[in-house]
Amino acid sequence: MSWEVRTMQSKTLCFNRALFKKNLTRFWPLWGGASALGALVPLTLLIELIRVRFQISDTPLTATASLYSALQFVPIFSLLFAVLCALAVWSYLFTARSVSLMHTLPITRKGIFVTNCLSGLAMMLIPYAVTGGLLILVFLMGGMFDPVGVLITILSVLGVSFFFFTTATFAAFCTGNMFAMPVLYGIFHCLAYVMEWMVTGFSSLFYYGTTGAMRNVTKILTPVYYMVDHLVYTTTDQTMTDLDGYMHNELTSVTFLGGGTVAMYALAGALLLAVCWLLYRSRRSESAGDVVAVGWMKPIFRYGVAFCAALPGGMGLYLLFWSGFQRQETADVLPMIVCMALAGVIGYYIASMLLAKSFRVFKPAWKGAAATAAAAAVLCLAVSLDPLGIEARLPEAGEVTGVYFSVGANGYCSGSTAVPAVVQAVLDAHAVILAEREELQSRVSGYGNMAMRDHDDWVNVHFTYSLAGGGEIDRAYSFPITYAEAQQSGSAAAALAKLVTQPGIQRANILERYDFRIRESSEVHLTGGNVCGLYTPQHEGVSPISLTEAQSKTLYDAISRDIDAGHFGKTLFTADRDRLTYTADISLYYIYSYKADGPALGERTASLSISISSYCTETIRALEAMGIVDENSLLVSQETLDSWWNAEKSLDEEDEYFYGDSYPDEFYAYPEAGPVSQEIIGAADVQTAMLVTGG
Amino acid sequence: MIAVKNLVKRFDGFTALDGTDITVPAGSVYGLVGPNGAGKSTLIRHLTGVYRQDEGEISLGGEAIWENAALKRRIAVIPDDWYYFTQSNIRDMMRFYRGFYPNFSMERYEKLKEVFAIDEKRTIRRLSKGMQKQAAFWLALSCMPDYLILDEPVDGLDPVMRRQVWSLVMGDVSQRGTTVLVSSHNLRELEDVCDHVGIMDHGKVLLERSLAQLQDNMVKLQVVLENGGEVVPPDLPVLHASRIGRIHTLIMRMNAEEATARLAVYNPMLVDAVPLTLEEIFIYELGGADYAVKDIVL
Repeated sequence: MSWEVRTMQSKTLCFNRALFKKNLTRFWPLWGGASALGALVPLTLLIELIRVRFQISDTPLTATASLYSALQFVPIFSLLFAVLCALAVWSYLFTARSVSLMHTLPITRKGIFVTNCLSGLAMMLIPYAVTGGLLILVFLMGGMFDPVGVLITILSVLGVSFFFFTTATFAAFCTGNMFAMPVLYGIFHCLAYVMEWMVTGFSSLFYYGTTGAMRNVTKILTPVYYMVDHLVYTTTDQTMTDLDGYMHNELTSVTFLGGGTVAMYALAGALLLAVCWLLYRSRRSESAGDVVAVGWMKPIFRYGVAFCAALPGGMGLYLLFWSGFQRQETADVLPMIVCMALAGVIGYYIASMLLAKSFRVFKPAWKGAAATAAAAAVLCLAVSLDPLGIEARLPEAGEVTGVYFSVGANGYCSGSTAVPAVVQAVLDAHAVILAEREELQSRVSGYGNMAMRDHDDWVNVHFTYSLAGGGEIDRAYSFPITYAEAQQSGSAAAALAKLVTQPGIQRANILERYDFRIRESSEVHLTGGNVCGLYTPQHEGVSPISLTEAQSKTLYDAISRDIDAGHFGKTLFTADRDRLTYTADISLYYIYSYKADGPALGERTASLSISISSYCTETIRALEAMGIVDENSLLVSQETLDSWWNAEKSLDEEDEYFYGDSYPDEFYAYPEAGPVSQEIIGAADVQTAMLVTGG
Repeated sequence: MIAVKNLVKRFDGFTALDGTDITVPAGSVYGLVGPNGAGKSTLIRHLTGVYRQDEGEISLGGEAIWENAALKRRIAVIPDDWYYFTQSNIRDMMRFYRGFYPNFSMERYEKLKEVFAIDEKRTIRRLSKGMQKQAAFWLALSCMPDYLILDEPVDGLDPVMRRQVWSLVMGDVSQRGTTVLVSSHNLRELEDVCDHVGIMDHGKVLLERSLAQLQDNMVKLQVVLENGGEVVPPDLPVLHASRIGRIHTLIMRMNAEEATARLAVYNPMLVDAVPLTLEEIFIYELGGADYAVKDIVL
């Protein structure tokens, strides 16, 4: 066929063979290098097959599972490779000389668009085709070829590659600058996430209790993040016994779950490609070299950069220059306004410089800069006034599907629950904190140490509500309290002290994992356990005592009775914790059968660890009935500490040997004068730390 | 014929072309001249379909150029700064051009190989500026264009090669009726090849005539006035006057006969009409447009 005929065909199809060929030959190192790297995978597999002389136990489904697991990496690779391919085929847009050549050629813009898009996609897909083709060959040689799995993989790779190439093309059409293109591309792919981070972080500065924790509502607009999470697969398998009597698991099905995600993004890519065409068609050739090539995007860019500079820049300036003077939990409005306005103006001028390709923009851009400063001030003021009532927002019990709680005072208590009555209890306690929030904030104004002069302990509270609509409310509070006020009804401390003794709360705190397995698995049963932290009458530690299955069940029942009676959690808001909590810890072991959450390797074991206080009468009675503890072997923490201090009046020779003369002599001497105070920080349910002060 | 009517182009508020009108008769060689920044290259980018005008019409052979691939197949362009693919040699570029231009002549390409005597397998970026220009001519002429649009085409070529390429271009004009539009500051050279000239300034075409008309419309007279008169009579419409000794040199916008007749009433001792060069016409025409050589002492 003569080239004239081919040209005629090209005209009809809006495809130019010469341009396509030139694109591929010019940028062959790009797709060639990627193909060579990709080919290493099948080659490695082939070498392994040769090594084992093709005696493998893998089935076609195993190969399919491998392909599906590799699909998770395709978005990451495509994200990086797409920008290179798009940069290659659209690089002509970035210099006036090349624009002149391309647009004087006898080809319409539609022809260039179609040909370059196909060239870029071809560059993206060649490495996949090479890798996939070789893999298929190796699979065929190894008897592992599954056509359905291969087809799904190919379609997924096509969809993902197409999407990323269109986004890179979109970035290329928005700018006329080669260096700005990958930057814009990166911004498009993380803009939503960064915006959410900025807005969440900013609001958390103003609203007492808000944490700045991201809800990831923008995840779907951050394609790589979303795809990596959603391009997953499930397997089902069956335990088989071979001729030698060995048991092994064999895959019975492999199902790819990311088809919808790929289809969604491929569709989005198609729509974006249509937008790209409109942009390209209206693009002015003279925009080559401009940071923003599309006229109507310039103000968006200018104010967008200003906004993005104002929020994190303003927060950064505030934290750098003003946070030291801040006298409350939430940010001071006026300094924040100044910082935001300043950062916004800087951002606006930077954007103006980029657009004008000149540093001399101060005078011509002053009106926009002033508008940015004013907008930043208004925004800051509006947010600080909390028009949406974010700070005081408490969800209705009916809309809460579950709550995570964490209360830390003189010990910690945390867990998750969906039991309506327990959720209501959390909401009630939360409501008291909100009602007292001004008073609680004022306690923090003198900084931690100063605040602690008048208070006994620092309380850390964290509530995360899962809402019926899929949303989440996350709040955390930190304030000092006195143990006396924990006894006064109506105070936040009292509300929390009451909350942590609620049976539902303690059940979630102590038995959550076990309860979860009971809900999720058909087979859960206690198998034994041990009790450790016991002492002889001479206060010498004894080895842990093992529990039988029956004993563990008995203890579990006793613990449950103590929980129901509100005996757990009573030491969190008291100064006498060390005189009330025992050193003894109970571990209960249980077995549960898995439920499709991993390879089938039989049953799994887990354990519960429970610390007890003198309030846990049912548990102590059960331990005594079993003969495991008596009044001598069960010591409270304070008793062991007293014993330790009595024994350690000064550092012994061994300590001297290790520490040498690194410290002055008086350091080694046990203080003789003055009272010694010991403060235990920790909880009955977790590891305990000890602070010693005095002298 | 190339026709441009009331062409307007603005760049971020700056008007580069402000109602430009030109007419290039078919088969003619049209010289586009003007000071730097007059809008010549911008006009050429419109004529080649690179830029889209804000207002006005552009047509070549009666067809609009914008997005007209069929028309572009008949146009070859040599811009001031010719673009080639970085790793390419002339043969690569030839293959590329051949994929776009249906009339591309391999026969002519092979013939021109002897004319330009450049190693076609040598990477273009390794060639000198003049050789790159030759390569551009080589490929452009091989496209067998009906319209040849040139922007500073011989800039960088040695005198022999200049004559050579003009000879090739003029050969195409005479044999194939190619219409040539050439923008250049080398007015001496244009004078030799152009039959029509347009003078541009500030985005407008100030003057557009055939070279003969242009030269006929302005005259340079060397005059010695009666009794060695030192002052040029004030009622004479003189564009520019200078004097060396007794000889006055006068530039007047009229033909030689009319100018001689106007001077006759002053009984000059000597009147000698000398034809103006294109460069002089350019200078004196633009002098009226506030663009003259200024006597500045540094």
